[in-house]
Amino acid sequence: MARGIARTMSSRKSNQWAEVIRDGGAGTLFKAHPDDHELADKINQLFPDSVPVTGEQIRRDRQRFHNRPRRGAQVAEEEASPTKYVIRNKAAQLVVREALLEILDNIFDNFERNTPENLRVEVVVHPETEAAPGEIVITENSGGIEKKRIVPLIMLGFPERSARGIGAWGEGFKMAAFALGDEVEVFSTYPGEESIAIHFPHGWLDPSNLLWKKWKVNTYRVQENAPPEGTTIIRVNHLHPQVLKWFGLGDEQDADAAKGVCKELAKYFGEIYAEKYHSLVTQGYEISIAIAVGSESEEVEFASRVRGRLARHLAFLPWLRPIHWTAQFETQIEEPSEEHGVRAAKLEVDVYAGLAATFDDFQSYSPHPPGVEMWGNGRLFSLKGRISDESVGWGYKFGGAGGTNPTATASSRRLTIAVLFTADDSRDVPWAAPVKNDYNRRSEFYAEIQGLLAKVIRLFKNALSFHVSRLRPFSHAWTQWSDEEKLDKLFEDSHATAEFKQDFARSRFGKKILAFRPDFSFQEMTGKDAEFTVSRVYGISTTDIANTVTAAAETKDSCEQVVEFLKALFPHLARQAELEREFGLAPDEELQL
Amino acid sequence: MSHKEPKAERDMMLELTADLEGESDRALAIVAAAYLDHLLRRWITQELGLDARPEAAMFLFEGFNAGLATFSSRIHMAKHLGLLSEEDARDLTLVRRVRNEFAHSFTGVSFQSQGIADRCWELAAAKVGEQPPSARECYQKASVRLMVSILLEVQSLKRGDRTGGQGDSQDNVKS
Repeated sequence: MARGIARTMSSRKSNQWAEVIRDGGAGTLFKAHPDDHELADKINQLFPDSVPVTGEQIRRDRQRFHNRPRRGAQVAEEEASPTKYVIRNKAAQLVVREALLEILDNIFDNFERNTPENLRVEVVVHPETEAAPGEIVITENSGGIEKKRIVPLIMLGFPERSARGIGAWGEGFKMAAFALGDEVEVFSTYPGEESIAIHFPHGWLDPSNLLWKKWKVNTYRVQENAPPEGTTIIRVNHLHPQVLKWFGLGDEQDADAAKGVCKELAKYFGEIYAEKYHSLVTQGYEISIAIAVGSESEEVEFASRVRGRLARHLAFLPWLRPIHWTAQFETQIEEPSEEHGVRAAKLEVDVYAGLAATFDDFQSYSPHPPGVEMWGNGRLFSLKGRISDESVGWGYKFGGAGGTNPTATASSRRLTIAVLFTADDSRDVPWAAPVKNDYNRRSEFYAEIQGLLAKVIRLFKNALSFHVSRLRPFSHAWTQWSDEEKLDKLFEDSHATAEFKQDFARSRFGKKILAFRPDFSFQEMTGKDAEFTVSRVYGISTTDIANTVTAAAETKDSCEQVVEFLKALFPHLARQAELEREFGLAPDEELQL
Repeated sequence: MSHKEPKAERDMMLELTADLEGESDRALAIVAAAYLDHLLRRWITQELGLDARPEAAMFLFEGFNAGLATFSSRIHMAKHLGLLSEEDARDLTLVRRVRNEFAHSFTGVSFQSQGIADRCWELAAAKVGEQPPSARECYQKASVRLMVSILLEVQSLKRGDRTGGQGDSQDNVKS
């Protein structure tokens, strides 16, 4: 509050409306004036010397201060975690984005557990004002938190998992909430149960505060504005200064920065939950997420599914087509809490891999393009960038005459690998729980995953430096470009003149190349133990691939070489054009082979 | 009468409206009406330029036979001066009647009492937007709306930035 007062004093105009809110006098005004603009107008007349307020601001203030639920009588006192240092230290390491993801994970999980018809999540970030400290309010209708799940939410070490889940209202939630602010309040109404409020008071996780020694957390009835049935409202209050600054809402509030953060977050959420979103939508659910930062707001647009996105960017060379490899892993692991002290861990793996033909429109949240992106139960978790170390098979040494994989280099970016893990028990997904921002190299399935991905890399390793221009006719983009664009792309590094390109376009072979439409089907593969090699999968030798890559490299600067290479790459089209010429067919007549 | 600066008047209103929230039915009815009565007096005083003529104001508003000593007479006066619309005057009359019911009954009266509730449901100011679910909330909403509107008129007269004023006070001359 001291900072708020300092700001008030330094401002040229005070915000008297904020003072009214702070002093508790705004409630009756909100009630008496249901129209936001009318109230704004009256407030501005009442306080002509104050900072003017807008109808939009009144709308937000009404939502934030008037319509928010309020705690009623205490219901119970639950024993919370005695290891507050653990939460505190982990919370300190969480960045804002990942903290928000963790909360959203819990919401998605709760939704899948309760399966109401639709899911609407609204994340609103309020700046600090004279009226109140900075705050994040998340309103969601994932079904409400059942009374029996309240204890895991409060206590450490009691996660509540659900089938194919990604969150658990457990340790991760508390870490995430306290990574954002100092006070956490959760209001929820589960169908058929009384509305409930849980309150972690300001100072609960602050060693310098007397509440630090209080391990209990109170649960309350909801006195006013209880959330509708199936709805939960999470308020994280007293946002940390660095969090406010990250949102562009720090001491020097920056509308452009707030707008940028809002857009970026919307894009981020849209990518991270793309698989989850599409999976739920195909089951008939409606899912939407909105974000508001200060006065800026944005609706999340979800990215395409991994398979579709890769189909648009990979090269579908007939003899080195992208693969879709499915495998299941299973093992017994020790679990003292289970009946026999062990449990069966199961993991389903879907690997998509291929050579990239176009590099635009790739994920923006992978700062290092080469490598493997990983998804767990529909949620992207390789958040620290695609993984390009030996843990995913780069530099892997196969036994016997299996050879060695290369280490990841700039050329590796042509190889795009996405792995989708699915597990009924989210503990079996190899993510770095509870934050799920990286690959867990201590996973029970580490060796299997590494071996599988090493085989994937081996399939493509000889083609890693394939000249990208030569891959373009096998891309989805090829079907979208005009003939002029195709010619420009095809000869872009060969100094071809406009006349040469036109001659090529008019030639029998050129016409066929421009009209070529690749087959966009993946090479389907199954089984974890199969010995997949280039010769077994594609029926060609690694030497053939290496020679083709070398030949492609030699086309640089020479347009004639490009044409020769294309003839080698499309032997059937070249032969067809030759036969048409031999048979004396008219220029627009085609031989039906 | 005491002459308060608009800021003090405004702060008093905000404090009072905030306090209304937790008041009993009787206190809410009487306090809200009393404050509206007070605001009407301020408004008429401003409008007629009586701030500069304390004896005349005393004659009109105070004393046994004063013409504007009652809430009812002030409502009528404000209406005839063109300060209040028909609708607002009617609402103020309803507020006054509700106040009287509370003030003159010793026991067994609340916003749920039939006569009181009926009057509250009639309040036009309570019907702006969504009508509140209870008679008490209707009364509170209408009272606060009327308070804010009248206070704004008083403030604007005081500042002299209203063009439609009919009084001859120094403030209005300035405008």
